[in-house]
Order: sequence, then structure tokens, then C-alpha cells
Amino acid sequence: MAEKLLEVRNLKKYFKVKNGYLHAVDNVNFFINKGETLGVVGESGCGKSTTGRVVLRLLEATDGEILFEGKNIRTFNKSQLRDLRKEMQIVFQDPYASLNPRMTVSEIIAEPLLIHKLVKNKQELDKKVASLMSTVGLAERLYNAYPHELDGGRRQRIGIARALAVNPKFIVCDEPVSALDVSIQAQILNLMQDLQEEFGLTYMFITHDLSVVKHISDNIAVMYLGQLVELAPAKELFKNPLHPYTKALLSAIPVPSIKHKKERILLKGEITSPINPQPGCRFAKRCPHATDACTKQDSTLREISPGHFVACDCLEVIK
Amino acid sequence: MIKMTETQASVPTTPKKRSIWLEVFRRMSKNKMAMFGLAIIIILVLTAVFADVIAPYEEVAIKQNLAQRLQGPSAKHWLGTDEFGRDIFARLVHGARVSLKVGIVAVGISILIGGTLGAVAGYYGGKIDNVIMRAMDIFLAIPSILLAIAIVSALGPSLFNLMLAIGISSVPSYARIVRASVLSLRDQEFIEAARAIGASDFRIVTKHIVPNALAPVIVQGTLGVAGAILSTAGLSFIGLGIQPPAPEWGSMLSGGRAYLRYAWHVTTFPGLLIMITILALNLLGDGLRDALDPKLKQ
Amino acid sequence: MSKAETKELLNIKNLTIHYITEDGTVKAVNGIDIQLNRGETLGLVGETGAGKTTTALGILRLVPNPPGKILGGEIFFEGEDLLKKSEVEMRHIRGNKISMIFQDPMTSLNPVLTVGEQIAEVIQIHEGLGKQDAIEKAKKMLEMVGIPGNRHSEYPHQFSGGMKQRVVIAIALACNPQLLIADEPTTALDVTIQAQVLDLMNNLKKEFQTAMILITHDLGVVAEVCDKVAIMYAGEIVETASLEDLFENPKHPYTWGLFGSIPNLEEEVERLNPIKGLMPDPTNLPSGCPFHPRCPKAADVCKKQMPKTTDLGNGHKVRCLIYEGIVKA
Repeated sequence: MAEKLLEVRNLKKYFKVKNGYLHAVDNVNFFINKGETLGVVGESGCGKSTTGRVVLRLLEATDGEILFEGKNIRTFNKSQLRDLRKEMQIVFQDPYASLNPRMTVSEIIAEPLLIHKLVKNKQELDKKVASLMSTVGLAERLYNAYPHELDGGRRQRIGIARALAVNPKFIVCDEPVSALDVSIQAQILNLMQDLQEEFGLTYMFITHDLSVVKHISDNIAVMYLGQLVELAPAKELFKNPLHPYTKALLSAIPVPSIKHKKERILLKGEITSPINPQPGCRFAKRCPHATDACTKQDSTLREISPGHFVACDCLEVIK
Repeated sequence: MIKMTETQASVPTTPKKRSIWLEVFRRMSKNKMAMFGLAIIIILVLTAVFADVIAPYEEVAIKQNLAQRLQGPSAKHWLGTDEFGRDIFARLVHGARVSLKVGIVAVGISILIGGTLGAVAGYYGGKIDNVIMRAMDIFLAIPSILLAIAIVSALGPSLFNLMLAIGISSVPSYARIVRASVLSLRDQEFIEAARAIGASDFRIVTKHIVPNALAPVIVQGTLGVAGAILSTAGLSFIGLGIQPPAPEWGSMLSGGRAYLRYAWHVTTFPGLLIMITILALNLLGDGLRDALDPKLKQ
Repeated sequence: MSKAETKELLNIKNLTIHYITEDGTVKAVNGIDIQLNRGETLGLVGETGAGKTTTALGILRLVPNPPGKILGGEIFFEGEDLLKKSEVEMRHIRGNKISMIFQDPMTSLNPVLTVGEQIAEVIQIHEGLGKQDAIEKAKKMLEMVGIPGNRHSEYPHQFSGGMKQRVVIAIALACNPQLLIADEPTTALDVTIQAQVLDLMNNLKKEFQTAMILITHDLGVVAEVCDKVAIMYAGEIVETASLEDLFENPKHPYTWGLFGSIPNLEEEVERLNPIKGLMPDPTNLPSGCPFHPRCPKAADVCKKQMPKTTDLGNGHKVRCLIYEGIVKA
């Protein structure tokens, strides 16, 4: 039986806005096994990036539990949290904004080592930085280069090296390849898979790109407006999507192939506002199968088959 | 194992760490007006540093020689003499010392106080921000020259009090600038990245925010030196600045105004010098602003 | 013969556009040929810096000058060379016979004008209608792109991203152009919204018989919308073919690399097979074939000899020494 590295229970994150509370993450439950990758997909504003940040305590959750290796990290104090940073890391979407423009490549990679005092002296630091650079495939001559002199792919490698520096167990990858060109994107995806194998890393891989998420994930969580609507093993989700939103989402992907033209489910209507949402399924307004009952109460996440969870009360009706 | 091949085509090789400021200078060197301003500033600084070599202070700049009062420009006195027979050129040279010192120290004081207040307000936000910035607003409501006059009158006219007065009166503008750039930096991903690797607030502010917020402060500081020189001249003109017989551009201007009709050179040359200095500083400041603009990067 | 001529809408021959800057000459577009018939849709595919957008701006003669300069070539539109037209004549063509949709719907609308006014503006300029009539037509255009006509008096910020891109499409189609250039029209949108917009564009294209150049990096989008495809690399078109030929039988090593880089939803692949290395620096392009440093098939001769265009028949053209019989496949 696989060991759970991270488990999230009833996680909520509300932001106070002008006319109420924006429910960015609303009652989300999931877990990630050690050494596996959980892909989190959804469209902009579905709360996937917020979830990633709340899990790392870069944002404080409104309610719920975040269990990392069995301990609820929401109760951690400042010094515990500092140590936790060595275990959990993040790779950001924008390789342009996530690197300090006034620091060189080696300074950026060295910073976590210095903060956590992981090296004893300058020589050891230089050696460690050089080895991290070669691990992520950065040429040695870039040691003193500034980020703005490099292309997006190389910058993303810097961001990955910075995350790896503290030797973490768990990395939240927030759209790490979305800003990159396809050929570079493939290089980075391969690198991340290699690193996972080599260091036994666990990933939470946040993206809006469904073909990327299928390629890299063991399990996939689909989010819609702050709620987790479906969670299943990657293959199972693509073969047998159950939630009407997942179905529509999968059918909307443009496939680079002319052999097979699939039936597209076009969604109508616009997205419900996540500010002070009414109880009930958030997807009801756009759902072709919605009934009155759907707008009355929140649907709960149920396990339909082993490992396949869906939050839709009308499943049986749809079938 | 991970081995990625790299094509050599597009990558600039960087053997040594190059300073960002060197790059800024390289960009600015293309701006002729800014370089002209920089040249004048350098000449002024050198003049101030070597003032004693150019003209002995006690004998030429201070000692009165009423027999030679109000003489026009000549080979002996290049820019003529003032109402006490002192050489105007020598007094301007020594005045440069005072003016530049006041300008730089006053701006230093405002950057130190204003920058810290602005950084704290911007980084922590909320109530702290509100208290600091409202205090700054109250400050801004008082004309800065009036404020400086009030401070000098209260503390008594001396060089240090003068610098303090001018420095304090421009604290709010630096606080605002620093706060604005800290606010825009605070939400940048690299700050979040620093937090994610466990950096403390102190480290984030000093290592990540301050270096990136420096550019607008430097530009404002350059322009601020010009303002401070002007304020010194103004305060000296009304008798609250540098006390006679010490040479200062503003007090020279004020001393000569009684003789404007028949000894034009006594006021003209100090006035001209003030103007050229301010112009040079402004040209340099504008040049720096363009060179530091991140949009022009790459 | 005469029939073929009337079918042809756009014929670009040997177009070359460079940006001349202090740090060197950016060779953005280097002698490209594009041929497009009425009602046809061409997908222009390539990575960042391949010269796709510059090509589009070149057709409209909107390349910022300086630093950009159209150094040579011809752009025949309805049989006339656009590069020989005066600025006044061009202004009459832009937005009227050729219109363009930009990538970011958030910034291509003016925030202080209502969407109705913005659609009406184009109509007023090119069709000489009065303000009232233009607004009426603007309402019709809005309805055509699936937005209720009575929302014409709302401002852009009151619309969502997908709706804004619909408004942009309405503006572009308001004067019933012969040619629509769409620069990454759905890249900024979410997949479900992208699906709606692509669907809309497909329908409108059929309805109006508008020819389209769709600039994108997404081969999936190309498969959905295009009739033929041109693959661009380092300012050159390395391969053009009909949609079927390109997807079933790609010829250029770069095209292979593009397909190898995309995770496939249908098949299981353990590892992706990316193109090694990076896009070349456009101020300092490699000698010979610009793709040779990244090409798995490259031979020594590729470093020296610039490949010519080889016609493989049925409109399938490729620029690679393999097909000139010089390099082994």
C-alpha cells in the first residue's frame, strides 16, 4: 500500500473582497502518495494555484487540515515552518517574474543553501551550486549570468535548481511549463520526470494544459470554481470521465491529429461568480444535466470505483 | 541520468560577474545630454575636493580687501571681486564645497529616513502603512521651504542644522517613491519564491526588495541634490543658511543684490553657476531614469 | 488559367523583413512564400521568435519602422502588390479588406469606449454609414458572435475574456473582409472558452467565405480549423502542406520535432522526444540551414548549404537537403 505524503482535508481559503468573500478554495479533499504526481487541472480562477500556495502555507488557509507526513502543518509555528520549507518547495509559472533580476544564477541557487545553513564554507557552497546546475542541465559558464540574459527554458531550470537545493520531498509545480515553447516545454517535462525518479520526489502539478497533465500525472484532480469535482487515476479519468464538467473539459481539448474527430460538448453560459456563491453545484448553471436539486445543496465527493472520486449528485440520472 | 545538450548558438558567455550598474552606465553613455551633465558634475566635485589647491581659503576667499571692492573681471580676478574685495572665483570654488556637501548630505538624510519609512509602510501595509503615509501627507501639506525655515529658526543656523532641515523637509517624497516601488515588488513572484525557501522578512527586504527599489530612488536623489542646493541658496539668501563670511552661492547672490546696477558680475556669476549645476544634475537624473528603465532592457 | 487566378487571394513572394537595431540586425522574416486561396484557412505554426507575427504585420504593412524594415519581396492581394500601395490606400485596406485579431483580448479593446461604439467605428470608417446605422449594424455583429445585441452599450470591463475575444472578432468581421489574420486568437483563453471561440470562427468562416491566416503554436488548434499549414522556423517557412499531408506525412525534421514534443492524449509515451537545444538568436542565425544545430539528421553539408524549396507534389513543399537528395534521410 502506498504511503500518503500529503493529505488535505476540508481545505478552505476565502479572500475578503469588496462585496463579500471570494471562495477561492471551498472544502477540498485530496491526498498524494509518496513518489507520485497529482495533477491539478482546471480553468483560470478555479483555485488550483491558491490550493498549491495554501498547501505550502504561502497563504494561510481559512479552514481545514493539511497533513504532511501525518502532521497538521497548519499548527506549525515560525521555526517549524522554516524547517518545513526544506521539505516542501515550489516551482513557479513565470520564469521571468520568479527570479530576482538583480541576482546572478549562482546567487539565486545558493540562497536557500545559505538561509538553511546547509553548507559550511564558500568552497562547499560553490561545489553544491555547480552540482545543482549540472543536475538541471545548466552550463557552467552561466554561473555568473543574470536571469534576463537567458531564455525561458533556462530560467525555469534555475527555478527548479533553487527548489531542489534544500533537497525537498515534495514540490508544488505551478504551471511550470505554460510560459514555454513546445520544444522547450518537452525538455523541461523530461527533466522533471528524471528528477522525480532520481530523488524520489512527490509532485503536485498544477496546470491548465490537459495533455501535459495526462503525460506527467499518476492521479488527476479536476477543479471547478474552488471545488474539486473529480479525482481519479490519470488513465481512468481520460477513459471514463464521469463529472459533466470533466467531460466537457476533455472534449474541448484541440487534439493535434486529424484521424479522429470527436464529438465536442460545447458549454453554454458564463461562469458563476465565486464571490459569496449560493449553495449547490457550482457547475449547475452550465451543466446540460442540471436539475433543481443541483442548485439546492453542495454535492459531496463520492468514491464511485476504487480511486475514482466524483462530486456530482446526478451521476445515476445521467447514466 | 540527466544530461542535457545545449546548443551554443544564442547564449552569451559570462565568464565574470558583471555589475548591473556597469550596464546602466553603458546604456547612459549613449545619451549625450546625460554625459554632458555628468561631466559638469565631475568637474564640480573635483573643484570642491581640490578647492584649497585652486585658491587658498583664508587669504583669497575670506580675507577682506576693501581697496579692491567691486572690481570687474580682470586677469587678476577672473570673475571680479565682491563688495568686500574678495575674489569671486575663489569664493565660488569654495562655495562648491558647501553646496555639494549640503546637497548630498541632505539627500542622504531624506533617503535614509524616507526610504526606511516607505519600505516599512509598503512591505507591511495595513495600519502601519496608513499611519506612516498619513503623517507624510501632513508633512507634504506644509511647503518644504517653510518647513526648512521653521526647523532652522528653531535649531539655530548652522551647517548641520541646515542639512537636517533640508533633508527632513523632503522625506515625504522619498517615502512615497519607495513605498510605491515596494508595493509593486511585494507581489512579484520572486518575493514569494524567497518566502518559499524560508527567507526571513529582514532578508527579503534587504536582499530582494531594496536592490530592486533602488533605481527610482537614485533618479529622485540626483534631482533632489539639485533641489537641496537650490534650497540652501534660498535659505542663505534670506540669512538662515551659511553664515558670513563663509562663501556660499546663495549668500553671495544675496550679498551682491544691492550692487546689481553697477556691479553686475557679483550676482551674475553665482547665479549662473547655480543654474548650470541644477541643469547638469537634472540632465544626469533624466539620463539615469532612461538608463534604468526596465522596459529598455533587452 | 483565368479561373485559377480569381481563386487566388493572397500570394506572398520572397518576403524579407528585418529589424535593424543598435545591437544587430534581427532577421525576422527571410524570404518566405505564402499562397492562399479565397475561403481557405492557413495555419502559420512556429515557436516564439519564428517570425509569425512579423509576417502578419508585414502583410498589413504595420511593421514598426524604425526599427523594422520590409527589405524585399511582393505581397499580391487580389492581384495587386500591397508593397507598392500608398499609405492612404493601405489605410483603406486595413480593417476593411484585411483585418487582424490580436492575441490579447484584454488589451486590444479601448476601455473607455462601449463595445458597440468600437464595432461601429470600423463600420463608419469603411462603409460610410451614419452613426445610428453603424450602431444598428454593430448590434447585428454582436448577435452574430453570440452576444445579445442590447449589450452594445456596455464597456469592455463588463465582459469576460471569452466575450471580449468575441467582440474583437466582431470588429474584425464587421466590414466583411476578404482576409482575416488571427494572431494566437485563443491562446489567452481557457480550453472550454477556446472551444467556443474556435467553433464560432469555423462557422463564421464558412458563412462569410473569409480566408484566414491563423497564427498559432498549437498544432491541436491547427487540426481543428485549418485547411493547410505552414511551419515557420527562424524566419523561414520550412514546410507547407495540406492539413492531411502535414499530419499524416510530415517531411521536415523540425516538424517531426514539434510532433514529438507534444504529449499525446491518444497514446501512452513514457518520455517526450523534444528537439534538442534552443531557437537560434535571430541576430546571429546559423550558416546554411538554420535548423542544422538542432537537427537529428544534420550532416556537414547542412552547415554550409542553404536548402532550396523542394516541391513534393500536391502543394507539399519542404526546405531540407534530404529532399534534394544531398543528405541521407
